[in-house]
Amino acid sequence: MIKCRNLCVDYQHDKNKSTSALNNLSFDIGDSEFIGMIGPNGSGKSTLAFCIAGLQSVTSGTIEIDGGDINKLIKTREIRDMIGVVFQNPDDQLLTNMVEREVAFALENRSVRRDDMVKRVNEIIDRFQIADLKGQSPNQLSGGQKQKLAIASVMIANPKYLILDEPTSFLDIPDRRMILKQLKVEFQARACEGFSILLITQFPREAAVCSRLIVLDKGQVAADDTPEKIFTERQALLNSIGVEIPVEYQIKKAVPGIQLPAYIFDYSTNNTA
Amino acid sequence: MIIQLIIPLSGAVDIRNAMQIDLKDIHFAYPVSSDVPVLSGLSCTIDQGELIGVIGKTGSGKSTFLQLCTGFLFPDSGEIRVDNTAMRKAKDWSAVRRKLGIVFQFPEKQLFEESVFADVAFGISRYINGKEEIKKRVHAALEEVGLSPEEFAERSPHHLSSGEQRRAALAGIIVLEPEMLFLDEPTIGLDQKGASEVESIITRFHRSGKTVCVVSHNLDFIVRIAGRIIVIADKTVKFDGEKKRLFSDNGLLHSFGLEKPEIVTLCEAIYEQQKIKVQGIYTIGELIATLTREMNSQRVLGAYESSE
Repeated sequence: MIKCRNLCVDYQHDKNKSTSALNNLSFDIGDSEFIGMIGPNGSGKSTLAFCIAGLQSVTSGTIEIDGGDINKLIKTREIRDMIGVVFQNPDDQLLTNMVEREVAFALENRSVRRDDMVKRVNEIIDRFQIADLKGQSPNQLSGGQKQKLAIASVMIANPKYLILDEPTSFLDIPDRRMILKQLKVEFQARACEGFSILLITQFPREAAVCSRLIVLDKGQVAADDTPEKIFTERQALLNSIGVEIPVEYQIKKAVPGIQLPAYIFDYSTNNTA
Repeated sequence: MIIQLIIPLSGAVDIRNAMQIDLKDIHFAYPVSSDVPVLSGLSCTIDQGELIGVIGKTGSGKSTFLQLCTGFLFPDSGEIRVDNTAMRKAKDWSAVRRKLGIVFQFPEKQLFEESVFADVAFGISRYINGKEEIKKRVHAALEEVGLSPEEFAERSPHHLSSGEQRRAALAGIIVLEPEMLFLDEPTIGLDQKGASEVESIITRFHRSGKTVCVVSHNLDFIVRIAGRIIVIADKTVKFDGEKKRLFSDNGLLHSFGLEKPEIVTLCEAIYEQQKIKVQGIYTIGELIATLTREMNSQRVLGAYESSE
């Protein structure tokens, strides 16, 4: 479990001006959870991801990862082994000149034995269905494939937690669908080991695949519930902070009695109905 | 000169400034991979006063198309004419440059001055002399994008929210008073609020009689604002016409590797389920109004039938 307690992060612009990105924020990421996080631009989503991943220190407050204080995990390696991070732009985290090498990178760094490494690389490549790209350079891939590769390269290290900071912002709809579907596969494959995902996204529609949805506003948790409940019962909140409400929920609310087919927009499958 | 007084007020097309860009049989490849053309045999015409949405899959050449239309890239073969003058070299473009406004992806990355005012004034200062005139134009542009000059002019552009930065960058183009505005993914990365602000800036600009050509992945955004749609696929223009024709034909969209906008999917689902005619509706507000009307009349009808 990741416990965040009273997190505050201030960005200092100059001597007498600062902006508060996180403002006394507390929440937990439990074991085997698939959590979506939405919020307007500047609500603190990325800052929170960076803090949990140990990439940024908090101004005040504590973060505990499986009982250990993040500030006392002396080697960043300890955090790295537990938490995998995927950024918005895959170009920020692809380092090698071949897909296969990219996937193996985390294991190479951890001096995993060669035969073991080959086995795990092949496993991941199969699970992510990127076998046909194995010998290509990451630079030749499309945006969606690059992002898929970035996730594969993180998942090979078997992190306990996977944090994704708007991983689909630069992708078109079919690619976004592909990434969401893959995340669902990863979650189902490893949820029994306690594996959890925190998916920060710009697209409320994507957050609907999660079992729990957190809405951030002004560095605080504004809502924390199932996506269904938030999109149905918290429309006033979402409207006031400028977060898009998926169209079918807008219609259901504005036109009482309207019947809509279930799952018209299921993002975790390949096709719309 | 009554006509001159009336035309700008009515917002109709001002013929004196009418502008046209004509692309004929354009072929283009990037030098790094000159054997793989990005566009091949592309032709189309952009006329004054249109609001055109350019769509296509990632990598289809949409951004390249936009840069060819504005003289940032030159075609390998084919001809581009602006107002019937062939654009052959960079010099030809510089003559029409001022009339073309281009907003690249993430334009806020180009903000660099110390204040919002200085940033917006940067381009216009090349064309206009006189501090007062510049100030007037910059303030008008800031008002136009919804950043009040009193509050924003002296602030650092780097301390604004991402939506405000995007609008400040837009102001830097609008202040030049271009006839045609080309935008590449203007809503990308913005939240709902930021995106709808940008959307209303674009529609307002268009309503003043100007031409807008916008490239976007966001089909719900395109279907709301554009009248004419250009689909780029297989290195050329595969569709060019009314949005109704494109979005009412599932096979057509699918053949370009595109998905329906959500609003279209929703309307079709409503028609399937309840047989309420909502095809051709492209905004959520209009859909809600139509459905409410329909549900009410069904209720009245139901009450009438049961009373009989």
